[in-house]
Amino acid sequence: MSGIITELDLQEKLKILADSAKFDVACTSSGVERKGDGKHMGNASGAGICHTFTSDGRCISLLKILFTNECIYDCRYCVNRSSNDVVRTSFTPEEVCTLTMEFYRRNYIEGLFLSSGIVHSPDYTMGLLYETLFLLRSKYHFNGYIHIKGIPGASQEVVEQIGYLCDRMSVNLELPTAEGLKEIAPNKVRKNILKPMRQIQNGIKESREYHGVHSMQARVSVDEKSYYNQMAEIAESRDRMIEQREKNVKKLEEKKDILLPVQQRSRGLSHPSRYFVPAGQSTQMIVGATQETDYQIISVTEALYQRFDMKRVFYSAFVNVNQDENLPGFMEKPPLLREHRLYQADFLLRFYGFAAGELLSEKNPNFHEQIDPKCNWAVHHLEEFPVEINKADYYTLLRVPGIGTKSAGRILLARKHGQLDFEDIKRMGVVLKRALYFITCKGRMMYQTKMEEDYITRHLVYNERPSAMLLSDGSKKTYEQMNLWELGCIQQA
Amino acid sequence: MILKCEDSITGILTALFDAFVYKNCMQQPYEDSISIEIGEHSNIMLFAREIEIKTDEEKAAKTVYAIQSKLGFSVYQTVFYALCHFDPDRATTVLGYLVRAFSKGSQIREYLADPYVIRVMELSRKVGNECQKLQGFTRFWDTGRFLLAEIEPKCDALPVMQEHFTDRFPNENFIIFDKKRKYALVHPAYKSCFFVAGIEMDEKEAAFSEVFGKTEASMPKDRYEEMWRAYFSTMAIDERFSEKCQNTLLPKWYRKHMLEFS
Repeated sequence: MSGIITELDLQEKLKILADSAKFDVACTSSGVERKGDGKHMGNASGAGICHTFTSDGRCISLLKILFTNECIYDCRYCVNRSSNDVVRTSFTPEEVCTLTMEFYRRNYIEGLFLSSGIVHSPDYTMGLLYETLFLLRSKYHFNGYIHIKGIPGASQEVVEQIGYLCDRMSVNLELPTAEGLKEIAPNKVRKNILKPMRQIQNGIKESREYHGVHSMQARVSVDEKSYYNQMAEIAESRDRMIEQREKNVKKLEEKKDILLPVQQRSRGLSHPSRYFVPAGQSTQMIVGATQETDYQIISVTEALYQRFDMKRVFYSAFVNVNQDENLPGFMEKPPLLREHRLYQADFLLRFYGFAAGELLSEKNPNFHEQIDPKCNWAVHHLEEFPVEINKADYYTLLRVPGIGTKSAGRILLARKHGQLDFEDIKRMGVVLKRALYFITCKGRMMYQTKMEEDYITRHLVYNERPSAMLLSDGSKKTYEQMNLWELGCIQQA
Repeated sequence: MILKCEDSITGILTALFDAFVYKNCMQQPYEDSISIEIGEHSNIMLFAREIEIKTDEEKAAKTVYAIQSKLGFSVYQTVFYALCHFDPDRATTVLGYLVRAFSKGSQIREYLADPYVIRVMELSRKVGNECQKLQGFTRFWDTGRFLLAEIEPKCDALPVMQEHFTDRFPNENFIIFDKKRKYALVHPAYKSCFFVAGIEMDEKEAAFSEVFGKTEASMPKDRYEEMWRAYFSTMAIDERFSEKCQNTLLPKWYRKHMLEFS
């Protein structure tokens, strides 16, 4: 194993430590809107800003680096596993700060994404990250976006302290199931991953209560259940407040003549004026390294959104960087399509009011290769269609393929002032080539179409990839030809 | 009736003011019979009355005030963004939009089945999207005395992006130069920013080029530029290579002034 080389110049270090960090997927800078302070550099834009796109089409928004690529763990999917022979190096906190500041002022990046290999212990490593962030925020007065990796196994204290300096914190789930984790990352324990997640979740909740922001506000779909949960949350916090007040009064009576110390509000709010992880927490899973099905993965995702109040769950198509013959993906392309389908389903869960059980099931555990999850759901539920654009409610509109949150919102606004037709909704952003099978305007469908699963599926597939449906003689399978073929089948039978 | 105005935001806002004056003198109901032509290129129309509009700051300010106070800030922003588009008919479209807006009130944004309203929404969306991208794709280089960026946007991006960049870099001297429209946003540190327009730019060109000249000849190479290039190429994962994906998300015309692609 090669030793640590510290004499490398900054550019060499950057190359090495960026190269090891690039497999982490989350490079978003969204979730927090913060104006500049008028004196120091930096602000944050709620929607996030992409600064460039690499040749694989992934966005670079943050300066994504490891603090060090030394690591005591031996995870089989990772380039920096302790048994690998690679050049090891580390930044100093000052180096990370100058790099961030100089890149930021030239408008290369939106902020910093700092992760690290584990040196000595999780706690020691988190301490290094804390030192860096503290320097960046307090000495360099950097007001931009910071995303930090929470290291499983680090103590509560350091996680809490660091939470007030960063905008987003993420703890990687790594693999969807505990068995998978055991197999691939023998030094990591699932319990240690979930514990900091829970702590961050509670910290965010307390901080939001303190600042009077609802946690549910961030999520778009508020169904009945979460509404009542929210009400319960409010009631609970009111009870706590009353209890606290009573305690205070009691204390006041007891220590009437002693000067009261500053009231520590509650555990977990040592810097109550600042927000704790204001952009929320995220996590990521590796897809395709173990045998989990898509159904298992999105069920885990759903649980993470509901029980841990995650802002995002990211998926990373497994790239076999170590060329480990015992892992899948050896000498193969990473499962990019699968990853894409998971992201599509993820959006359906977060913004469209779908449940994991509606999209997939035990019997049908994987996504369709050729059509997206929403189309797939729609063709299996033709009994719910066609939907009348001028009458259907928001969530019904959202279930139509080709209608997204924005166009559904526009339809709701526009139809208050008059009946809408296909031309109108097309200009509002509805993708008619997908939607036309499922909608009516003023009671009429756009073309005469059969409400038949096979028929619609074929057309949807043809829309996405015309080449996939080309027949061997170069002609395309179209509407009429399909009919003739069907006719042939009937005659044969 | 055709109103002809100067190709600037103030020019168009003046024309909008005058258009409403003419509209109110016309026979009611008004039937979108006024159009506004921007700049020089004109096709002579038979029987149409042509009127030259002289740019007037005061009239423009009155238009802005009327829109903001009667229709609210979000409608104003939509209109402002739409006027930053490059579409030659943008002023006429906005006029039609405003005529409807002043009769319907701030709800006008809901009337998406109306051709003028939807067109204004499309124009302003395009401007918003392009500026959102440019906020990320603009690259500054350090000349030693100030930061300089060049852009060649399709839409008039500077007035839209001004707020973002001044808010982000209050402590920096920076200049963003729009090469296509030949004007620049100048921001001295801790002070408010201003625009330097075409003609004055030529005079300052000498001073600018002096600084650039120095930069190229004697200024030491900016090591952070090298590092950024290195970082950019390192971040790509070869196993996932997809040029098509990159081209969709970062269309090639943006790359002209981006350091990592030059």
